[in-house]
Amino acid sequence: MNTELKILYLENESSVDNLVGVLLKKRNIYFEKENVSTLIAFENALNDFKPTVILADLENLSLDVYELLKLLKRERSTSPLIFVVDNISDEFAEDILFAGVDDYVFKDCLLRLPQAIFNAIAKKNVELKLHESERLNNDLLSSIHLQLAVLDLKGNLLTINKAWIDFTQKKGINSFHCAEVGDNFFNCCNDAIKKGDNYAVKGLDGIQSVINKEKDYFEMEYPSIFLEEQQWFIFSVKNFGIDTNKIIISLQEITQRKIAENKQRDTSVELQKTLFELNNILDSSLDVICTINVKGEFVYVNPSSLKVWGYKPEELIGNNFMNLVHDEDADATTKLAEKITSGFPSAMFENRYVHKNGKIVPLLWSANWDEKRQLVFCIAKDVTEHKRLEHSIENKRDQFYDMLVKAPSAIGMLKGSDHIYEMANPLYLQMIGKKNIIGKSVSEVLPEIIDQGYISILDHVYQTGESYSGTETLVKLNANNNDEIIDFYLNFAFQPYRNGNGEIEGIFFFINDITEQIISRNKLEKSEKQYRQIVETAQEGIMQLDENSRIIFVNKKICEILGYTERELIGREHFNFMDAYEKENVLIAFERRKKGISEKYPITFLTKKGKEVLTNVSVNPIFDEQSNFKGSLGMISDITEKKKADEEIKFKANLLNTIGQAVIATDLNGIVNYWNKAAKNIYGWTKEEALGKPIANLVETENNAMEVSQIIAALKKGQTWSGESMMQKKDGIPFPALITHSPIYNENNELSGVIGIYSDITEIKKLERLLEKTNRLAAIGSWEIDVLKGTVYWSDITKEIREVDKDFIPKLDIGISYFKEGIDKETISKKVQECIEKGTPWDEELQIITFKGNYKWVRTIGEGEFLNGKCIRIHGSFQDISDRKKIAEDLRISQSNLQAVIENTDAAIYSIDTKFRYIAFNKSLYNSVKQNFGLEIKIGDNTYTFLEKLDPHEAKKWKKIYAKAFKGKTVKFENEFTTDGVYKCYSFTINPIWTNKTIIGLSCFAQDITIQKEEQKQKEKMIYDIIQHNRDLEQFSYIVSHNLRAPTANIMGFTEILQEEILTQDEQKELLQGLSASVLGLDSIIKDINIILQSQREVHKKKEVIVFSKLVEDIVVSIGNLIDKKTMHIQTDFSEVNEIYSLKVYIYSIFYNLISNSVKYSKPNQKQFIEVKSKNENGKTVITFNDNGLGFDINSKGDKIFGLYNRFHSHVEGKGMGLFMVKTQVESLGGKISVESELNKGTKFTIVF
Amino acid sequence: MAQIKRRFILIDDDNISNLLTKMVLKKAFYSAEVLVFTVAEEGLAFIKSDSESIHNFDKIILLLDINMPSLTGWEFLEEFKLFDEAIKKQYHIYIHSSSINAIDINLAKENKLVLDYLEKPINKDKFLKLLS
Repeated sequence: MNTELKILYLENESSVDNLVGVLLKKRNIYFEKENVSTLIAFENALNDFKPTVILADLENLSLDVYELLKLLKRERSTSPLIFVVDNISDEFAEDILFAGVDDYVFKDCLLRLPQAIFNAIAKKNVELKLHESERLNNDLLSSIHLQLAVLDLKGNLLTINKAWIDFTQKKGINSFHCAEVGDNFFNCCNDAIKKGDNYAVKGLDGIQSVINKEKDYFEMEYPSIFLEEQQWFIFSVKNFGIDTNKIIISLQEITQRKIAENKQRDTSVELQKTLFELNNILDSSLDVICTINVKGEFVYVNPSSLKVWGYKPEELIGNNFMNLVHDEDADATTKLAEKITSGFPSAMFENRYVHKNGKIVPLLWSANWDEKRQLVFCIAKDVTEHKRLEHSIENKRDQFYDMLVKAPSAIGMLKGSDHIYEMANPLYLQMIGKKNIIGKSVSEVLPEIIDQGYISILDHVYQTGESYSGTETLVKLNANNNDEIIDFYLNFAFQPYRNGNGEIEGIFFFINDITEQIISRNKLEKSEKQYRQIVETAQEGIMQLDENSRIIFVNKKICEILGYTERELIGREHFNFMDAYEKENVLIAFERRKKGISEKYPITFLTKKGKEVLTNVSVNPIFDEQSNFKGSLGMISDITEKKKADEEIKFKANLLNTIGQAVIATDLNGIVNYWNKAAKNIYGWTKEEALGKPIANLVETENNAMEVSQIIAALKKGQTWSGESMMQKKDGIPFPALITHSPIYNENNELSGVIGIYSDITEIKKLERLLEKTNRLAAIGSWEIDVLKGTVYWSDITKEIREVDKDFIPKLDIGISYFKEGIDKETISKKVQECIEKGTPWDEELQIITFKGNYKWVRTIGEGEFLNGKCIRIHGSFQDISDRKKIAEDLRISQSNLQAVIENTDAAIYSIDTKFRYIAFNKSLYNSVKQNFGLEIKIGDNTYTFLEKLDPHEAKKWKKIYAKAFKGKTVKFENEFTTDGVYKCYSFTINPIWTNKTIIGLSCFAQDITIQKEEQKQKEKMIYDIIQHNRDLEQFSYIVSHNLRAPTANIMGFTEILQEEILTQDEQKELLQGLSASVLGLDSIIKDINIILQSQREVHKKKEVIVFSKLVEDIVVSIGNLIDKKTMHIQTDFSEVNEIYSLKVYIYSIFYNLISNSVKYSKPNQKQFIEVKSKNENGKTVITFNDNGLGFDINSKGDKIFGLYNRFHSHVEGKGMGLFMVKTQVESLGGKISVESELNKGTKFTIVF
Repeated sequence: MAQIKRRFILIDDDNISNLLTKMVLKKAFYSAEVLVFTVAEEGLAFIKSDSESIHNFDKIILLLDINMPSLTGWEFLEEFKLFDEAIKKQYHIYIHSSSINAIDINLAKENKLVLDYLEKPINKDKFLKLLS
């Protein structure tokens, strides 16, 4: 052993030095040594001498041990430090060893020193290596991309490498392994699991399985998601080497690999799909697909070979294809095959194969030579069907052409939008007189038809695909090519034809020339028409029957007579239009016709409506050239009218019988020769009794004698006599009758008799008497002036009205002279004059003076009677209307009184019509509208003009109210408003005005009830105040029972213990302190109550103007100590209202309490704002205090927030009196306070003054 | 003197009253353990989390004040009502208030969770009588 040692002695002790020297030498160890005695020297020695070991005698060391150690550490010295000691306490030894001293050796066993040196050096070396390897590991760990983390078994993250840190610090990351040293990885996993991360579940399970030794190793692939991209990792868990108390988690990024894998997977899926599809195509192809090698052998054949050639693929593969080729095509096919295999580009060709069953199969081939594979790829299509179709199409085409050429119609085909002739048969060419038209357009060949509109018809057919056909259509053609236009009548059809895709390609046309038929028919029709006209216009009905008596012709007249249409008559037997009786007659008559007999006889037909028509018929038989009976022709005339005239006479006679008046005719001798039913009813004599008797015996009374002679005289003059006369009934009862006698003349115009019409006027007389009576009751009198005679008649009532005796005989002028002087007399004179001159009737209400000198109102009606344009008589009525006039006058007076009331009332009254126009209004309304709205209203103005002056909302309300009233409802409501600060309240009543169940307008009544309203409000306020006071009292009782009682109870408790218990000194002291605090509490409450009671009284003190902004400034200053300037922000906005006229003490207290509350109950450690704002709303000042502080739950605490001694937060000092005071003060100033709040969001107080 | 190990819980924001009550309880029951909560919510939280007492104690006496800032006695009872039966049956609740308001007294009598209304101040005799 000759290890080289460098020993550095600190403040050498030679004894130690020597001993060490001896001991080392003894062991044959070579060494160098150096002594140092100062720290500087020591430091230099460390760097220069580089000792392997440092030795020192601890007892004799003047240097500080800890300084030494510090230096060693600073110099990163690896030299061990060993102390030689005499004696050392266990604590100190432990202490220095812990501080970094490597060993110590007692002086009395210095023999151990060399060993101690070696041990210390060895230990240092091991430490050094360990340190180096650790650093190396760390460098390694931090330089690799693998994310690494070491966990202990409880999941605590011990170490993570740089890659892990970098990863977890990326932005927007979302991965369960985002954890830092000190985090618990299990918790991280569990958090992610709660969020639904399934990889975290797997990862955590994996970690647990490794920890539980279920697995040595766990690995999973796992994606972590960034904001947009996704990264893939292999997440693996292992034991941390041999240290079984730790595990290591690594994450290797495999994103690129993953992307590649996915791509590859997608591609291979696609590839598989394509292959599968290709196989499908090959298998299901109807064509034979095959490959043939250079030798001509089939290499691959698809299953279609069985169908096409009759051979299965396996039968063909390996065989030469030439075996199948039809002999005739063999040479050509061989040549072609050679051409293909020599690289000639892909070819299409046809040949024929022989089917297994011997049939020949025509094939269409396409073949490709693949040089690389030396294979021909072929597709063979079976064209048997195709060939067959080709053939049949050719046949069809021939047939079609044949048909076209031979067709009896002109047929052709046009193509395209210009209608180019593609085909036309000879008949067509013949018709149009043209040749070589194929390839030309229709308008080119037949320019004359353009203007006739046929080209546009063709265009229409071509464009729309709708067929078009014309019947007997006139077409003018230049068929002779000499400018002579010939008329053709054609039946034709244009039919579009389509190609395989359904698109219109052109038009087929089919034309039949029917010109000849049409011309001949026209001629026939013309002659027939002329003939027909004669028959149709005949006044007699003409009817022709065939041999079977069926109608074959009728003219219009017959239709008129019978009421049937021609169609309804033709073809039916004529006896169908008669009754059964007549049918029999005509059938017999028809037999006579067959015998050739012509005759005239009447037939009664039945019309369609079932009416009988009497006709005279003149009828002739019809025979043909061979004398065969061919029917008959009848001329029929309607004779119903004639018959009607006869019947009219009968009817009149009947009529006389049915009328209510007695009609009696006599001859000149008075012998009755007509006596109607009414005559029997009136006189009681029957017709039989009366006829042939002198009329005088039947009806006349003795009084009539004179009249009779008068009547006879009148009649002889040819006049009619009428008058009233008393008549007598069969039973002798007389009755008044109105009689008209008229003369009857015979054919020779000689008077031959008298006809008298008698009406029983008993009833009329009764009515007259009733009228008289009624007139009397109504005080209607009558009068009459005979203008010619100058006499005057007054009825009794007239005399009564005039207050003269009944026997008074009026004179002409007297009537007029007793009208009231002035306008009345003038009016009546004028009216009478006008009546006499012009015949103008009058109806006037005028005043008269009676003969007794009384004034009366009368209604006088007068009317003139005229003869030859001259007034002969005036008569009229005279009615006393004084009472009615009086009532009317009374009404007028009362109405004018009412008017006066309406005009002078304070209430505004008006009415409007259905069009919202004023019908009437009183002064009050007029003034009010003028005063309040500057509007001068007039009758007839639309009230909407007024409504427009109002607030739109208000106007809308009014329109609604009017609409409601117009529905028939009475609307009552009150309306409050404030103009220029003056409060007003009106009560409105709006009634519909009804006339005959319809509403013609509205009457509206508005009354100023401001005073009543104010009184009511005052009352309400008083009641509110009383309730408030009562509530205050309750509050007070609550205070007494809770707050005042609390300290009292405490005092009672303390004193009781003090009295009763045996107490220690300390206990006693504690009790007394408690007692004292309770007494103070009690005092404080009593003072509070005093303040409250005081404040409720202070309201009557003097008010002043208070400026809000100044107020808040003052408050902020006074509570400055509470406000943390950094976090608290007080914002104010008094721009709208900045002052109030009020009691300063109160306003200050209100602001102070609310602001200091906001400060006190702010959320700690957070930006806090308080916002105080004021504004004007409806003439009221609104102040809001808003904060974002702690707030409270308004649902559970809302009702208590303003209560006395109510507190919601335990952490802040407070009595619970502030808000109580605020509310008390706000209310005593006549304001209102409300609060909104949300827990942890903030609070808002709103005060309205 | 009965030397049963008893636990009392005072829920009251009035510190002075608590000092007094605690003293009275100590005088009445030498071994009494008195827990004081001046914030009702904290009392509730303790009761909810303290499952050990179910085994360690006889019935726990809870003296509950009515008039407290953030949570009143009545609100405390509403919360307590929702607790597990096992917890609830562990407690004897008395309203302990200075109020002499008849409404409060009636409310206490009507509440099924409350055994009785104890008017402050409570003294030793009353307690002993109550728990005998």
